[in-house]
Amino acid sequence: MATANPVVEMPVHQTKPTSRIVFTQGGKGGVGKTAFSTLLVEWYASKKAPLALIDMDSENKTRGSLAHFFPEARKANIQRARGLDDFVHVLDEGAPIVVADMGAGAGEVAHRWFDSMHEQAKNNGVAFTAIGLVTPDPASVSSILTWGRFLQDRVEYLIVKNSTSDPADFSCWENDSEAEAFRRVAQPEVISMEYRIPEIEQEMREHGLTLQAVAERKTDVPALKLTASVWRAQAYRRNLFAELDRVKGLLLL
Amino acid sequence: MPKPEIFVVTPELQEVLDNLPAGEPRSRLEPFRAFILRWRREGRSYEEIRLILQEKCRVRATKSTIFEFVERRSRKRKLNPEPQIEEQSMPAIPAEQETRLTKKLTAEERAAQVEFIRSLNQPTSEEQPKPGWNFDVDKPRTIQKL
Repeated sequence: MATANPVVEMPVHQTKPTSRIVFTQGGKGGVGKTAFSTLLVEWYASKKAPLALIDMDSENKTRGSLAHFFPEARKANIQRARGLDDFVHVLDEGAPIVVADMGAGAGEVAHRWFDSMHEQAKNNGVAFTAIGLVTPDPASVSSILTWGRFLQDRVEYLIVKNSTSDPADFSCWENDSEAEAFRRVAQPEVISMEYRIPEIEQEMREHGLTLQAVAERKTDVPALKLTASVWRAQAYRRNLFAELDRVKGLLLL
Repeated sequence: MPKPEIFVVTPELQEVLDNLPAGEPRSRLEPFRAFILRWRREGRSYEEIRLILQEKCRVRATKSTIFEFVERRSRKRKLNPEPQIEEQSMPAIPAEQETRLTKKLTAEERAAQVEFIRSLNQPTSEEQPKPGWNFDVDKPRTIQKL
């Protein structure tokens, strides 16, 4: 019989996931969660992979949130009692892959939701990928370790080393003994996001433009129409896409 | 010269002013103004915008309506210029609508999407990188005998 609800009627003992929720760990603010999320969405788009977007950043309402770059992203307020149930709603509509960008300070809600809902999600073929952003700021590492303590092995981990300075010093991630223990136990995939020129980043954020729009000269913003900006946008995309290709097993089905 | 009359807002008048009903939006496209104008700047066609509005926002409008809307909103005003469109916030989505903005897929459509995504996850044959030029400044150099 044809099913009206593709999520609920998934076989229970599924070896391969039939859905994947990819979400940024909403811990410390300003580590580049949304910047990475927008590039991740562009990567999916380059592969023509169907996906749904959820903007869970309730702090950053106008500029700089995922919906600012992708108006089709649905806004979700995770502070409501139902927490992250929007994950389920979106899957229920049929989207096999969901990308969710969480705002800073979403930890408690997310942890409570995983405690009560993860088992059902797993039994229905849903896999989770948690994305942690590491910057030279040690607080970004603490945030990832805190999330790891709650999420444990209920998710797969993708760590993005975001070079917010040039050169970027990641010794707080490389040399920290707790981080080393986390790497040993959780076995995250680790990729690098290269340093991006602040002027380009700021203009893109200001105007809600993606790197694709800049790379394909689909903008009238003078600073982003410069050939140097266009080439840089193309290079940023190419380099990060190569990194994402390397870990695509965590991002696809 | 007559003195200008001083206009006093009494508490009663203030209450009347505060309780005036809000005016109806001039167009049902108004809540999406910032997005429509941005999509146009990014080069999307009126047909594409019409489809996005219809499928994602559940707003039906013809291409010509959108065209006229954009034309009107793009004109520069001499007085009381409109705020920059980037200053606009996201149109508020009522909670009950948040979860039903996209078309629900059938089981067959979904199965096809899952298959397609799995096909993207196949390992690709990695190209062997071309050997690059490597030079070790500390290594003693040798000269071949002719």
